[in-house]
Amino acid sequence: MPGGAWIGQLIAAVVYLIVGLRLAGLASRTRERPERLLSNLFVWSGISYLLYLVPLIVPVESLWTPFNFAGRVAYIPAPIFIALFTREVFRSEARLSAWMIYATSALLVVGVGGSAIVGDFEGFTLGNPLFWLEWTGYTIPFAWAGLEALRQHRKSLRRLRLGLCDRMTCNRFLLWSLFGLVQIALSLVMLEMYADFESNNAFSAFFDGLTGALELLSIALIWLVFFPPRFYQRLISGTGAVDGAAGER
Amino acid sequence: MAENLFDFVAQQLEQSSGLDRLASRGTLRLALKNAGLNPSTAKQSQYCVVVERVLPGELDSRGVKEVRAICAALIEQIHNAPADPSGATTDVDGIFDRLAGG
Repeated sequence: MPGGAWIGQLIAAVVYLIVGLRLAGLASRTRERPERLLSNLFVWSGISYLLYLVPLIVPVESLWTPFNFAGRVAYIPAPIFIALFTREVFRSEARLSAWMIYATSALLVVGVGGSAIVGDFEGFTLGNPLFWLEWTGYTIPFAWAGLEALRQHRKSLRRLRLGLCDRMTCNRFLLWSLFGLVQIALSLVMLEMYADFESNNAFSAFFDGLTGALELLSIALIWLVFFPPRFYQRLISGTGAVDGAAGER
Repeated sequence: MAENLFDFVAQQLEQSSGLDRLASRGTLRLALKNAGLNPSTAKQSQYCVVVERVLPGELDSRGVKEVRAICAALIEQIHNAPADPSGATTDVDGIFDRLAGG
């Protein structure tokens, strides 16, 4: 990744770790599952991103494959945790949602493990059917998260009209759904990058930059969900005063 | 004895509106859906708002008479209802607020 993607990834790694550790602190106080699940999602994402970055920062060719593989393995828990979070928060009563978690886990483990067994440690080979298992395993949970949050956003608009939901909460669902959609976009851009890599043995500068931009957009969305600045709270609430994150319900 | 708040409110609605069991449950479920709420997780205060602002329209459209009086009595009954044994702790709004405020 010679262009901007690695800068976006580095910032994303740091932000994911900050958000993950902050949620871990919250989970230790509340002992609630949603914050524990999200904390794991962000911590594992951050660790994985850092592992992917090592070969780009330390130009030692022999590090490329082992660190790429370590990054892939470290990323396995992230989509599983977002699927667990989505089930816990949005679909706790639906039996089918448990199968989504089993399927995600199986796709990721078989995809990454299988490709390692056949010697594809980097996981860039689109012609390898195991690549598609892994790709589906890390794309579908984010699509599910995005769609469930979008559905909840629509419902929260109805609650908002009746005074049963505050504007910030309603907006948080929208931001979380956009985060899911940006992750899908990243997965799709990755396909093009890997296709380029297969044919040219190099990443396309355009898609490299696009990846970096999407990573930055992801971070902005996460920041607005978990650390909304006061100006943003005022903008969304439509008032001069900000009452804090938790609205009355 | 109603199993949860939804059952309790539906039972009271059935008794006061003249709708049969299926119709009263369906009407209440529809009113909650139109308010963006889940029947199993909505709280007493949320039920009161739905009964006051959404349910009258639903009952009117089903030809129920004296809708205002029925809904006023229903709100009173919800206020006096025992705490929901199901707990209604899985409040999505509350979870997202907590995550942002922690």
